[in-house]
Amino acid sequence: MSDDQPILELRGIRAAYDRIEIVHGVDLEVPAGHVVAILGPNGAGKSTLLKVCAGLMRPTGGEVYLAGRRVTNAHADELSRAGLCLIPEGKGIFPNLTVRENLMMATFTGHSLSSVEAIAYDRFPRLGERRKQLAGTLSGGEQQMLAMARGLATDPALLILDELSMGLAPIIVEQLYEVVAQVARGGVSILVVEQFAQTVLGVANTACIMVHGKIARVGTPAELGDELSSAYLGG
Amino acid sequence: MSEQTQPGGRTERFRSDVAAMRLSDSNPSRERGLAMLGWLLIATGIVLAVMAIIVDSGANASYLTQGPADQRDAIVWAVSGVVFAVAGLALVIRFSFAKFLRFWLARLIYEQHASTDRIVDAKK
Repeated sequence: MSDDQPILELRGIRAAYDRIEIVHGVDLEVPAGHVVAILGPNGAGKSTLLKVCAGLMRPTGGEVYLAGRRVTNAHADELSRAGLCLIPEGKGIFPNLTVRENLMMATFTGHSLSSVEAIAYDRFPRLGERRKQLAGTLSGGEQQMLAMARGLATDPALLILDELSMGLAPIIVEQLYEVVAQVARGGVSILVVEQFAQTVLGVANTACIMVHGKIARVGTPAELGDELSSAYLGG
Repeated sequence: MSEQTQPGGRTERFRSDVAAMRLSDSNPSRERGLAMLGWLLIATGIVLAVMAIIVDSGANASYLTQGPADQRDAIVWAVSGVVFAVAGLALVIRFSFAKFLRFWLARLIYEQHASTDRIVDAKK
C-alpha cells in the first residue's frame, strides 16, 4: 500500500435530504498527516459532507475511500473503531453526565479510564479541575474542550472537526486551534470545517472553499485568503 | 498523547486496520425492507394462528365427521403461523433491533472498563 495514498478521499460525492440535494459532486483528498480546512458560508453543505465522511449519512452518489479502501456504505461504528473520529457541531457531549463520566464514554475503544483522563487533563487542565461538574454546567469553551478531549482520547488517526469555533470567544478558539496544531504535529490527519476562517487558516496545510454544495476552490491558505470574502459574498 | 500518537506510526496502523476491516457495506433500504418483511411475517403468523383457532373451534362445535380433518388443517395452519412468526421475529431482531443492541453492547463494555478501573484503583 502506497504511503502517499490519501487517508481520506471523496470522489464525486452527492448527498441529499429526501429529494433535496445538498452536496453536488464533491472531490476531496486529505493526505496523511495534513490538516485540510473546508470553509464556506452557512448552508454550503459542509456539515453534510462531514456526515458522509463519518458514515452517519449515505451519499446518493460517489464514493468514499479511507486509506485506499472503499467505505462508502460502512457503518459509523466500523469507521470509528478503525480510527476515524468526528467531533460534531454543537459539541455532542452528554450534558447530564459529569466531565469524568463523559470521558468514560471514550473507553469503548479499549483505553482505560485512567489513560483517557490523563490524556484529557494533560491537554486541557481546566477539565481536571471540573471533573466532577456536570458537563451541561460548563462554559461553551469548556464543553468544546471536553468534546475534543473525548475525541482525542480515542487515539484517532483521522480527526474530523465540525465548526469548532461555533459560539465561542476568539481567545478560546485560538486555544482550541493551538491544540489542533499540536495534534496535527503528532501525525494525525485532520479535516476541519469552519464558517469563520481566520484561525483555521493558520493551522491548515490545504484549504477548500465550498459554496452551494460544491468545492469552488482548493489551494494553500495563503492562496485562498484573499478569495474568501468574495466567495462568502458571492462576488 | 505520547503513548497514543507517534508521527507516522498511527497512520500506518490506521492503514492496516482499514485494510483488515470487515465492512458490512450495508444497503439501508434493503435493511428497512427486510425489517418490514419481518413485521409482515409476524402479522401473517398471528392471522394464521387465529384462523387455526377459528377452524378448530368450528370443527369441535360441529361434531361432524369432517371435524378431525378440519382439525388437521387447523394444526397445519397453526404450525405454519408459528414458523412465519418466528422467522419474522428473527428478521425484526436482526434488522430493527441491531442498533439498540449495539448501544447495549457499548454500555456493557463501558461497565466492564469501569469495573476494571475500580479494581485497579482499589489495589493501588
